[in-house]
Amino acid sequence: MQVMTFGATCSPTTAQFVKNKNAEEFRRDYPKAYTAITEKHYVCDYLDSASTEAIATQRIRDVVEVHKQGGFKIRTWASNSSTVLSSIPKELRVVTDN
Amino acid sequence: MIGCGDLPVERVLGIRWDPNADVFCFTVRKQTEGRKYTNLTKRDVLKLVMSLLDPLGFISNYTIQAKMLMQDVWRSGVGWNDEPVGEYVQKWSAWTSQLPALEAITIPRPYSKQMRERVNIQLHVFCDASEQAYASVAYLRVQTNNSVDISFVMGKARMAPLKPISIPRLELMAAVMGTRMAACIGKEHEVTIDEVVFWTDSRTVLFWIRSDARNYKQFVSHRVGEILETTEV
Repeated sequence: MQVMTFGATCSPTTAQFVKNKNAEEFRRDYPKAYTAITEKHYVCDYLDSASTEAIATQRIRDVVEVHKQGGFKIRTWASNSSTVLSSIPKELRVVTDN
Repeated sequence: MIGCGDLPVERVLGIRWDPNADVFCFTVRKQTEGRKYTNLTKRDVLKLVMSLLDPLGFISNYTIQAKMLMQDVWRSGVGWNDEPVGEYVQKWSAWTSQLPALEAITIPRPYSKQMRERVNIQLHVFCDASEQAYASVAYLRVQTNNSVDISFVMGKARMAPLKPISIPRLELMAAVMGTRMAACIGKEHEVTIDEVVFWTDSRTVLFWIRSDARNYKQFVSHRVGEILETTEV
């Protein structure tokens, strides 16, 4: 199966499973991203906090990379830190009004 | 480099979050804004009350008032498509007149700016009940070497059942809700909470907890049992 069926009863489960399965495959290289993906994702949202900007930047980079390997594009990033936000490619950031 | 202050308010798991000020806020739904809050049926009233998503109970003190009204309306036997009449109309308009003020409410997201210098973290859970409703609320007390920060964690308010039950029993239900809340908060936070303190103003509840639970009717003994099992009181 190449395409995700939209609206089927099993769709949410399938999506979650594939998301976690993909993270599992990169667990060895990205252990932190694995925990972030399996435990800090809520359906299609990712919500996390980190004690320093450096940690946050690194974790975002890893999470983006792992998802990318699975063919997923995680976007609309928002952060209360402009340093963290500027480390994310512009097209992946949340759309600003102005 | 993008500056702070130009990020839009984001919806994070349904809650509005302003990344610039790092606060949670509320927006009253657009479709209800332009509409008159009068001449609404019971169905419309419930719809508006339930449209306020507030999983952490930031405004439960406000939403509970509408739920009380809803219970009164229910008691009066008004049908789903009937307009509530009499005193309810007045109470309802008093409640809705405060709706726009919700937009002015902001709740800071971080518990404390000094989280990294913490030496002690306490969770304080307050439980209380009245004839109409019971509630509990949790605050985090973050202590550093030279400061103390207190911040709201979550609150929950519930209606008393339609069938009247005694105030001490409602106080006990509030206490059980408080212990469940504390367990939930402890489980969901990565930061270790050093101490949990429960507060209730009911001496009866305190007495029940301190005495042998088996001496009481099932209602009390089961709840006391749960409190004793999940906490170290």
